[in-house]
Parts: sequence; C-alpha cells; structure tokens
Amino acid sequence: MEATGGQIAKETLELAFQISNMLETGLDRHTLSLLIALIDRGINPEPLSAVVRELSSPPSRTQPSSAFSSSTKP
Amino acid sequence: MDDTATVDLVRELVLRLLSPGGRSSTASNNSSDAAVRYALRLLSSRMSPSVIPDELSLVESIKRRLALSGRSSSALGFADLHSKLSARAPLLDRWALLYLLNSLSLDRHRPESSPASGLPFLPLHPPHPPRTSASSIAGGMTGGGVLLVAKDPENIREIALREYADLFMEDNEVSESALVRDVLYACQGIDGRYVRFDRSTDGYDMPESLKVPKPTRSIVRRLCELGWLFRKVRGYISEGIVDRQFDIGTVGQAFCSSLQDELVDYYKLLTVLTSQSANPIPSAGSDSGGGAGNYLSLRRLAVWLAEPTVRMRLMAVLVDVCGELRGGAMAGAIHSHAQHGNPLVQEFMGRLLRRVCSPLFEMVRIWVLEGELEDVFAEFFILSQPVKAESLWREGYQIQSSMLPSFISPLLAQRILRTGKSINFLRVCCEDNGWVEASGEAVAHVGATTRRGGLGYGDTNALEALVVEAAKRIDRHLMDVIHKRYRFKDHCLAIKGYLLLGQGDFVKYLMDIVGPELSEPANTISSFQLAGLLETAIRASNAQYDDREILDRLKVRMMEHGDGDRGWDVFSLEYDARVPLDTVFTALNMKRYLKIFNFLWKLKRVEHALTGLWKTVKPNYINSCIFANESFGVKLQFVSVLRRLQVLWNEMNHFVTNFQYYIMFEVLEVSWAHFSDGMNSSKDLDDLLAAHDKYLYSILEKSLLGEGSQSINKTLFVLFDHILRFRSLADRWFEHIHELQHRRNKSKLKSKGELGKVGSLIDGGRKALLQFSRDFFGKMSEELDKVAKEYSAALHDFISQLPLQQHIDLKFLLFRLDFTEYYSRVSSNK
Amino acid sequence: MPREIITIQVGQCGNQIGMEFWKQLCVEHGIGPDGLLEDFATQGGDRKDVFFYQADDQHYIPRALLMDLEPRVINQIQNGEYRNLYNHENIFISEDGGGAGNNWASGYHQGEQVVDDIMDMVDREADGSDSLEGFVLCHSIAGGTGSGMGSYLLETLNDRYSKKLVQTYSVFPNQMETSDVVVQPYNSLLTLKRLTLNADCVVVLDNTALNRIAVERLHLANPTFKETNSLVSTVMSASTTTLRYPGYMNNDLVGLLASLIPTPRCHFLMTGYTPLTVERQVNVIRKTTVLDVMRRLLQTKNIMVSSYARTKEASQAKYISILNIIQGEVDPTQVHESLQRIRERKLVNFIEWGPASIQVALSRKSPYVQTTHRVSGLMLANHTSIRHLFSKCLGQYEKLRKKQAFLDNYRKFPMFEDNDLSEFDESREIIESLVDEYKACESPDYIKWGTEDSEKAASSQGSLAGSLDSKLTL
Repeated sequence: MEATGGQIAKETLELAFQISNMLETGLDRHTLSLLIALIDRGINPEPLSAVVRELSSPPSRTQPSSAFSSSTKP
Repeated sequence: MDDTATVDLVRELVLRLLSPGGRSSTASNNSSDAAVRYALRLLSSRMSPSVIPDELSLVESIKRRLALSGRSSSALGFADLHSKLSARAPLLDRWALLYLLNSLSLDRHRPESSPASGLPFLPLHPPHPPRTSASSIAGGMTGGGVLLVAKDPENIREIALREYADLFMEDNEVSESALVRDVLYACQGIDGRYVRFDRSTDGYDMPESLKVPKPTRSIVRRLCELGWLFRKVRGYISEGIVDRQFDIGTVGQAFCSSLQDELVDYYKLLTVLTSQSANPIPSAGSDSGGGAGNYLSLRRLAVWLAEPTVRMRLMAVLVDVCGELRGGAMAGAIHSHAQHGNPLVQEFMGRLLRRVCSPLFEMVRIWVLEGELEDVFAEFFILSQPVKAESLWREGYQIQSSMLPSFISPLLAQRILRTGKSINFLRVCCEDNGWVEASGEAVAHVGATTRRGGLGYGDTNALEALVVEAAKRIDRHLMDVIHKRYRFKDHCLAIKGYLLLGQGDFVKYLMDIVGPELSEPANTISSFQLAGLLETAIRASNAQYDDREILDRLKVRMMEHGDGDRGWDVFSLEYDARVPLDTVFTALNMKRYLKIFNFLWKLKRVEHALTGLWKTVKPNYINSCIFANESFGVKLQFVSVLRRLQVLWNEMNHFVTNFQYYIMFEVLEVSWAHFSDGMNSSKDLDDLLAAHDKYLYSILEKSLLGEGSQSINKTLFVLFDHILRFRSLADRWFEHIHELQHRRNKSKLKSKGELGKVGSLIDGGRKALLQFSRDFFGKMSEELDKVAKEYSAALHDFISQLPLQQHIDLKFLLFRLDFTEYYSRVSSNK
Repeated sequence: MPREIITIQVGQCGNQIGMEFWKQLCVEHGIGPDGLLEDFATQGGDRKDVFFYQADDQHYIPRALLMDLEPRVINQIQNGEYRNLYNHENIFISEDGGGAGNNWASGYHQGEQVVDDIMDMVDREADGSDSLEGFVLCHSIAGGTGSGMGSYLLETLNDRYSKKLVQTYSVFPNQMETSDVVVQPYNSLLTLKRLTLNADCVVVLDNTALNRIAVERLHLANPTFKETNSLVSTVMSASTTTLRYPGYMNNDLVGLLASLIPTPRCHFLMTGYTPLTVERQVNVIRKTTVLDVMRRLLQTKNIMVSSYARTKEASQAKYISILNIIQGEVDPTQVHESLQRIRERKLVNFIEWGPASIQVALSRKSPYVQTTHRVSGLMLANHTSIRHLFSKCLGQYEKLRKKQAFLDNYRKFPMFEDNDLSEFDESREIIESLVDEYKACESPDYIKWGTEDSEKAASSQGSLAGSLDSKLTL
C-alpha cells in the first residue's frame, strides 16, 4: 500500500507540474513539490503566492523567461 | 507556522526561490535568513481575509482565461488534467493549489496584460476573488481601464498621454511616490515630508502652499483619515496600557490588547506596502513594462487601505464610545456596536467582544459559584459595600445598572446578584459551608463551560444556564439552612405567639402579673422586675414547653418615657432575632412588630379591664348583694343603675370581643395563612423576605395601624380610653358599694344586738345610710350616663368612619360589630 | 398560675357524669387510667394543669372532689378502671351511707352537718392552686344529694369564695317520663333558687333532650344513663377546650362566661353539639364544613334543652349571646362566610336592647383522639326560651304544692320545721322573677324593666322596714 501512496504522490506532482506549465507559472518541479507540501499543511495559498512572488518576481519580471537570479531587490 | 516541519519547508522554499535551479546559492546567509523571516511573517499574517474556496468556479475561470488568450487546446488540456487530479488526489486541497498556480500565472502575465488588474489577487481585496479577475480582463475593471489604453496598439493615444504626463509632471511639485510614502507615514502616525498632522484642523494635510493638483490633494486627505484614526486608536491604547493601566481595569486592558493585536496586522500590511512603495511608479507615458516593480500609486494605496480604514474607523468609534468607560459599561458600549450587518464588522466585533467580555464573564462565574467579587478595578455590575451582617442581604450588594452590559438582561443580573449574595449570606451570616457542595453540583450539571475562562461573549446562554443552575441549588440550600438549621418557621411562630399575643394563656398571665406594676409611673418601674415577671409568666403558661433557645430571645423592653407616662405606655416585649434571621426581622420590621404588639397589648388590656369588671359584678355576687335583696326604693335604684351599667358593659364588651375576633380571624390568622403559603413556596430569600414583608404589612394595615388609618385609629384609642375610664369609675363605685354594704351589715348587726326583736329599726343611722345610698346611686347614675354618652359618641364616630377606609377591607369588622344591625337601627332611629 | 378549676361532683348523677368527664379529659390529654402520661402523648400545646395537678411521682391527678351520701356510685369508681386516678383524700362518702332518699331537705341538712369535712377538702384543693379560677359543680337537680347537698355547697362556696367563679353542670329531670322520684318538682325548685342566686353560670342539661337526642340522633332505642352521660361529658370537655388548648382568645373561664352572661340573673346556658356519636356507633366519615356545623348548632333538635315553648312564644324567643367552639381543622376564612350565610338566612334572633353576635372560637382538637369527623362544634347559648323550662318546673311544683303532697318529708328538717314553707314560696318567687326577666329580655325595653317605679318607690320609705324585717328573720 505504501507503494500506492508514493505512486499517488508522484502522479499528483506530475499532474500539478503539467498544470503549472500550462499556466506558465515558471515553477520547477522541486519548488512545486515544496509548495504542494505546504498547501497540504494547510498554508493559505494567498500569502504563499505572495512569498513566491516577492522572492522570485523581480528577476522573473525583468526576465520573463523562467530564469532565476539571486540578486537582491532593487 | 508553529511546527518546525513547516518552517523547514518554508526555509527550503525560500532558498530554492533565491537560488534557482536548486544549486546551493552564493547568496549570503544573512539575506536568506531575512528572506525566510519575511516569508514566515507573510505566511503568518492574518491580513488576508479568505477568498471563498470555490474550486469549480476557479477552474472555470482558468479555463475561460486560457480560452480567451487563444489557447483553447490548453483550456481543454487543463480540464483534462484537473479531472485527473481530482481522481488521483481527492485529499489534496486542489483549490489552494490551483489558486496558487493561477495567481502565480497571473503574476507572470500581468506586465503584458494589465498591470492595474494585478490588484485583485492582493490578499486584502475580498470583494474581488481571483475568479473575477478573469472577467475584469474580459470586461475591463474600473481601476484598470486607463492603463488598458496603454496597451492600445495604435500608439497615437499613447503619445498624447505621454504629453499629458509631462504636463502633469510639471504641475506637480511633489512626486506621487513621495506622497505615497508620506501617506504611509501618516498611516503610522508619523509626520512625513509633506503630509503632516495639523493640530488646528485635527487631521493630516499638506501645506496649502504645496502645489498639488486638487484631486491628488483630496485623495491624500482621504487616505490620511486612516492616519488620523490610527493616531486616535494608538493614543487610546498607549494611554490605556501606560497611564490608565489601573484605571481602565481588566476589561479595558483586554480591549486595549485586542486593539493592539489588530494593529499588529495593520503594521504588517504597512510593512508590505512600504516595501512596495519603494518601487518606482511608472509614469503614465512610460513603458509599462520597464523597470517598475510592484509599485504603489495613491490610487492603489486607496484600494489597499480601504478595508483597513473601515476596520480602523470601527476601532476609533469604539475608542470614542468607550472613552472613560470601564468594566461592564465598556463591554456594554462595545456590544451596542456589534449589531452590524457587515460580516466583516461582525466577525471583528465578535473577536473583540470575546476578549473584552472574558474578564467580565469570569467575574460572573466566580461570583455565582464562589461568591467572590474579584473586582479590583470596580468593573463588575455588582458592587459590594461593607455593612453589618444584619443588612448584608438587603444592602451589602447592589447592581450598578451603569455597569450592566446590555447583553445581560436585568432579570439575569438579579439572579446573578442573588446567587452570589446567597453564598456570602451563607458564609457570613449562617456560617455555612454547604453551598460549596451546591455550587459543585451546579458545575457538574452545566458541564465544561464552567471552567475558568470557559465562558465568553456569545456564550450568554451557557452563562445563563450556569447562573440558573447555581442559583437554583444555592437558593435551595439557603432555604434549607434558613428553615432547618435556623428554624425560621419556629421563630415566626414564636413571634406570632408572643409579640402578636397568639399564646393566649401566656398573655393572660403576663397581663395579670405585670398589670399592677404597669399602673405605676413609668420611671419608678424596674425593668429587672418586669423581666422576672416575664419569666414567671413563661413558667406559668404553656410557653414553658417552648424551646429555651426561643424563650431566651424574648425580652421586656421599656420604651422611651416622658414625665406623665405610666408603665402601660412604655411596656413592650421584643424578640431578639439574631443573625442570620435579623435579615428578615430587621430593626425596621421589629419596630413594626412592636407597633402591632403595643396595639394588641392595649386591646388585651381593655379586654382584661372589662373581664375584671365582670368579675366584680358577676352573677352570684350581685344576686347575693344586699342591695339586690333590699326592697323597693334603694333596690330599684340599684337595679336600675346596675342594669344600665351592665348594658353599657355589654356594649363595650361586644365591641372589644368582636374587634378581637376580627383581629384574630380576619387579620392574624388570614395573614398568617397567606404567609405560611408564601413561606412554603419561597424559592429564595428574596421571596421569603417579600412574603414576610407582605405579612407584616397586611397585619399593620388591617389593624388600622397603617398610614391611611391614622384618624380612625385615633378614634379607636379614644374608645379604648373610655372603656378604661369606665373600668376605673366602676371600681370606685363598687368600692363604695362594698363599704356601704359593710356599714349596712354592721348597723344591721347592731340593731339586732341592741334591739333584739322586731321593732323600731328605723333609727337615725339607718335612715341616714339609706339616704346616703340613694344619693350615691344618684351620683353614680349621673356619672354612668356621662360615660355612656361619651362612649356612644365615640363609637358612632368609629363606626361611621369604617366605610370611609377605602384602602383596606373593613367590611368584616363592620359586619361583626353590627351583626344584628343594632347600630344601623339605632342610627336610623335618630 | 394555671387558673385552676376545681370540679366538685355531688350525688349519683354528678359522680356519673363527672367520671365520664374525667375519662374524656384523660383520653384527650393522653393520660392513662393510672394518671401517668402515655408514651405517645408527646405533642405539647395542651394545658393539663387547669384540671389536673401533678403529684411528686409524675402522676396527673384530677382537681376533683367526689361527694356522695351513699357509697354505690363512688364505690364503682373506686373499683373501676380509673380507680387510681383520683386522690383518695378527695373522696367523701357520708358515714351512715344512707343517702338523701331523694329528699332535697335531707341532702341540704346532711351537707350542713358535714360542712367542716367537705369544706376542708375544698380548702385543701383551693390552697393547692396558684390562682384558682373557680369551681365547677356537677349534679342533678331532681334527686336528694346532688340537689340538696349541692345547694348547700353552692351557698357555702358563694359565701366563702365570693371572688371565685362558680359554674354548674346541672342535669334537669326527664319531664316526659313519670319519675320514680315523685318529689322531684320540689327538689328542682329549691335547687333552682340556689342556681339562680349562688351560681355564676349554670349549664342546663335536660335529660328529656338528652334522651331525645340519644334516640333520634344516635338511634338508640333505650338509651342508658351511661350513654346520656357520655353526651354530657362530651359537652363538658368541649366547653373547656379553649381553656385546655390556649389560643389567641377565650383562654380563661371568666372571659368565656363574661361575654355569654351580660346580666347577672340570666346565666343559664343551653348547649348544642354536632356531630354526635357514641362509642359503639360506627359512623361514616363526613366532610362537615364550618357552615354545616354552625347551622346544625342552631337547630333545636341538636340542643340539649327541650323547648317547652308554644309556637308563638318560641318565635319571640331570642338569643342573648352565642358562643360556638369549633374544633378541628378549620380555615379561618370559612368562619366569616358562615356567619354571613347565617345572617342572610336570618337563622338566628338576637336581643334588641344591645349589640350581639355569634362568637366563634376555634380550638384545637386532641391529637390523641381519632374522630370520624373533620370538624365538630359546641354551642353555648344564652337563650330566653330557657324560661319555658323553668315555667314547666314551676307548673309541676304548683300542681304538687296545691295537693300539699309529700311535704312531710321536708318538715322533718330544720329549714321546714314548724310547717314553715316560706322557703318554697321564696324559691317560687325567685324563679318566677327569673322567668319574668328572661321574658323581659325578649323586649327592646329590657333596660328599663323592673325599674320603672324606682323613683316612686325610692320615696315610699314606709314599707321598707317591714320587708327588711322579713329578711332578717331568715
């Protein structure tokens, strides 16, 4: 049964990743898995999106491609 | 946010975001730590009112957006993926996931589509949940309308706008971002560069000299209202926490801390806004995509601050309302603003009230269960004052209606008051501990809500249930203690027996033995001697079988006396009620009993006087009296005056006897019967007090001792005095008759001895004696007539006043007095 | 100071009713036949010391003097169940034990002979009291001992204890049967004179009525003396309840009697009692109300004095006073209601020369006596129709006297020596004047009755001396 549990998680992540790509969120699989884990823990998606936006948006804003930069905010 | 797992996840997420690709970053630990803190703060903020988690409509909205952006295949693909996801992960909060992905997607697409419509995803914008953002793109939102133009492919208008913007910039001495910053300062109660607090107008404003377009000025002013409100709220809090710490009490403290918590959220918002304000505002003409981050314009700020303003306004209103109020009054004032249709306000108020009322409800709980007033700051609606034990019940505790919050009904408040009072009464006056058990039972019965701090605003029903249960048990226990341990009824019966003269044999003996004593001037009477006589009367009557406990409380009391007073005027009995029964038999009530005693005692004295007179003229004495067997003249004279005396006596006796029957049947016994019923049905001490007061009042009124009966009462006492005078006159007459008889007997013997035989008995002495007797009877007859006349007049006066006593029902008395309609006949003959 | 009452029972009848009375009191107070308090008699509230005193050994002893000129009845008592109840020093039986032979004169004379002995007993009893209220004499007026010796006692008590009350329970002979005592009219008349002059209150118990009640109300074919006596003891004990169970009012005999007897001569009381039962009768428990009781008490069939009045006279008869003693669980409010009904229905005629009313005393019932009725009532009434009983006595006396019958029996005794029958004449005169006074009470002008010519008479001194002399020779 454990295998099934792991299987489901894997499949879920896969589906979510496809949706994420479709919506062009620019999230990689690992980040997405972290976000799903947080949502699973009942974290409010609104501030969560704010976090992602705040911490990754400046580069994403300037470089609409999904390239990330570690530069500090202007 | 508490569990480390979540924190770890967040940390990992932050690191991941800061160092894309998952490689360990070169970024300094410092900055990443700050970022983690920042993320955690964001995540823990409550500033985002929840969007309705409606998965279906969110899915629809996403599909529509995809379709509208020309990617209908993606829309279909999304639908497919969503249904798969639904099947695979039924437990996952899909809405949250989709919401997150959608908002990130929107975020990334915004620069190209509509920068202004970025606002709707902002957490502080509940009326515009994400799904409407799609429609806003379709239909155009008011806020986004202007900038949509910028996207216009034909750039003619764009150029025009840029020109306008340049003009606009010239008109502005101050940049918008500076104003935004100033507004944000103002919102924190700090004076900015341009926007400052102006004491004269009591508000934030920019100097008139500053060249700012009118609409801008007005929007700044409007936004600064929040600052003004904030100042007010913060001022109140700091005053409450620092200066009036002891003054505002626990309720006030709860209120302040609650406000403080709200401000924390507000601060968080301001932090976010401040950070955004650092981003440059793209000017109307500038490239919308170029260099601008998540910037703040005044208009954006207006949207951001709209909801906090509502909340802050509410807080300011409450601060205003509460003002100098404290405790229950404060809770009541806050409560009066809780009735609001806006769910936002309702929720906010509910949260606030729960905090504010908690100390108050705790006071109620402790009061009804333990009788303790934990009210250091005088906030409770029950106020205690130090009194003697005897007035603890009546005066020890009061409801302060100003401190009574409106969500506690006056009835409930009375109940609360009585319950705690009962406990204190039991503790102080009855030295009883049984209430602990009673309140324990109440707690067990009501259940969990009775724990410390378990009650709060909104639990008024639970509070009421607790109060009702505690009241029921404690009242019952108190009644038990009063009845069983303190034998309330026995004392009432003792008072009825001794002070209301129900113990007839005792009263008779007391009257017999203290009577001679009381005829002396009041100042020569020793109350020690009277006390001794009282003891004798007790021993001689059935009172001796009464409890010693009860008899010990019975005492002689000499009232204040003036010069001419006789013992009769000042003698009375009193009953020492003692704690706790002196709560019922208060000094005032004992004074009333005293009044009744004095009246009944006088009535008995009059009866006693008449009975005594009857004994003087009783049948076998009169029938063997020498004058009754005398012949003719003197005999007839004697018989005549005697008959009239007896008829007058009969009339007086009729009056006194029937008055007594009236007192017994219509007053004492009836009132007692009612009282007895009242006593048995009394559920609490208040009921009992009321029943007793009613009993006493009813006796006073019906015995013509009430305020409204002063005139008839006076007539009654005139009648009594006539009767007493008649008695003393009659005593004198019969003393005289005895003497005459004695002399007569002597002369008879003498004549017998000297003359021996039948013959000339008509000697001078006898003749003189007969003449003397005739004169005496003549005089007696005159005096008798006078008394009779005066008495008749007074009686007539009394009877004619009876029907006028409309405040009491005296028809029973009239009925008895005029049973044979003798008086009706007499007065109709007149 | 219990306001003690000393009971003196004289003669056969007196001792019989006295014995029943004490039995009843013992039962009501929970006192056993040996004078010891029964174990169950713990509920206080009653006064035993009015009629009993306690010996050193806790025995309750009746304040009773038992006197007879023949030993039969007293011997019965002394051999009966209650033999240990009485103080044996309080029993007097004449030494020769021959009785009075149904002769008033003999009884009176013998009484005179033993006056020292019996007055010693009376004095001793009186001295043993703290505040003696008075004496109650139980006797019959028809025989020899109760009437004759009783008469002598009344005179002596009047003389020696003039301040004390003297009440009698006097049994009048059955007028319907031919009595075995042929001289009963003489005896009655002579006793009546003493009852008129020397008693403060006479409760008239008419054997005629007692028999009628026993037959009609109790359905006894041939009522025995014991049965009629139990009626008497019921009345006696009921009339003393307010003394024995003190309440707000009527706690002493003098208070009780004063209201009933406003004028000195008219001190003959009738009684009524309801509901009546005798021991062997099994009665259905009835829910009697106060009104029922008070209404029944006013019905002649329940009154223990026969009415000898003709209809016309009867309609003129008036109550001088009424006292109803109601025993049992009574709601005080019912009393007023009942009085109202009685007045509405004009069930009672009162005198017109002064105010009057039905007095109602509520009294407790003994907790030790189980009765079949919730409420019972005794009426003590001063009613002018009693004069017809006296007229009847006078009539019978006249009949006998005209024939000069049986007078020799009386002439043997000092009072009637030398054929001096003035005692008869004087007695007749006094009874006649008593009848007249009662008659006068029926008129509104009673207050002036017998005194109209007082002014005139006061001036006529001539006749004064003569009448005075005749008194002195007595």
